[in-house]
Amino acid sequence: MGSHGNRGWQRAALLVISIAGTLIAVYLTVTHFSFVPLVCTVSSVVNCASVTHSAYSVIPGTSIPISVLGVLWFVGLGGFALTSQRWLQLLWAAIGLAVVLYLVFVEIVLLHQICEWCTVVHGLVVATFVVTVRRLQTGE
Amino acid sequence: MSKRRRAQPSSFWRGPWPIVGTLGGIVVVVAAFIVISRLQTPSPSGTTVPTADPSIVAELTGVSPTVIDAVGTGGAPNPLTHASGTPLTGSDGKPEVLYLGAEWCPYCAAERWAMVVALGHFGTFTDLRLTTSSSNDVFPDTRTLSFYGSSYTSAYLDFAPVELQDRNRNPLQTPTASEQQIAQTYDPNSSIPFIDIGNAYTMTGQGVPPGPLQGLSWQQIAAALSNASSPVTRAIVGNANYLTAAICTLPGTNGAPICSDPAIKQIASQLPH
Repeated sequence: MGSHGNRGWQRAALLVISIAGTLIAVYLTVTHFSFVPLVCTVSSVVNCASVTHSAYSVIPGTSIPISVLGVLWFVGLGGFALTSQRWLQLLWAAIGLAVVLYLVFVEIVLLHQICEWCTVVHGLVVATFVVTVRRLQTGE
Repeated sequence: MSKRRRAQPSSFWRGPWPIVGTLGGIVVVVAAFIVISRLQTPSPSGTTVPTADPSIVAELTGVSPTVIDAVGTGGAPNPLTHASGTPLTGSDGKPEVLYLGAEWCPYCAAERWAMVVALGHFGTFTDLRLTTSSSNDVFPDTRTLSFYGSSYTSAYLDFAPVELQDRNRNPLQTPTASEQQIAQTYDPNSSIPFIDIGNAYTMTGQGVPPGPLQGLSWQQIAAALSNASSPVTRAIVGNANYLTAAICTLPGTNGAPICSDPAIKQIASQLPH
């Protein structure tokens, strides 16, 4: 009974992460295409605009913002949360984690700037990985 | 004994270590990124900076008509304001383009790329120098070219650039009395960059957004201008096309081949008169 309760909580957490991540990724996508500034702190370290409009903000070789991939990833996560495909979900979370590490590399090493909204998204992806592993552990 | 060995992976998997190990790994990787970032060579400071590689200037002033036509406005709104003052001319009577900016200013840094592209259609730059915007402002260390110490020759127009301060905000150049008068008339808030195109059109504040240039070297920015779909090209060439179209409205400049370009003619026809 307690195990079922945990799994229910984990599924709910994944759905909340999916919705929150999708909303933020949509917001980043809209502001990428428009000239509307992001609501974001500006300092020598934090600057959302310089990150989300940088040359690394698009899928290489295209003009499609990477935040579009974020939208697809979080929508896909919502789908996994509603199914029992836990190993596929782990693979999905691992892919997300790898992309997040690349984007953090771009922010810290190449741009020397951090985007607050992106960091929230990165945190959601890490949380997804943790919940996914926990879901696999309790699902046995 | 053998049962105990089979049970070990299971207890490891069910314990906290997969999660703790992953989170620890993430912390170590991010810490490594921070160390790498701090070990990188700091940006050049002051104004003692190298002259731009001729290949960079060549790529800027040689943007292909195909790219110019494909980019058009680059999707950017018109940055120009119509002015109706007495035509601004240089000492030899040719129309003059006046620029006021500063080397520390990130928006000036981004705008200079477009200005070199636009003015390159009408003349030749020499002694452009490589520099970056301030390290302590928004869009820090944006790579750019400084007009300070450069010269420009053209059969069609004069160019009068004034870099008010260096990248450390030390005084660099002082505008003449007439240039100050123009700035007070068309740029009462003293926003930079300020561009006056023959007293026919002016531009104040942001033109080219610095964002797409972040993290790119001078060579990477210049090389990107051959790709019409690059965000860098859309930002720089889109703004340059507006400037070019405005210059083409000045007397005596429409003999320049660029003024016959379909995209430039199209933009010029849409400028306010």
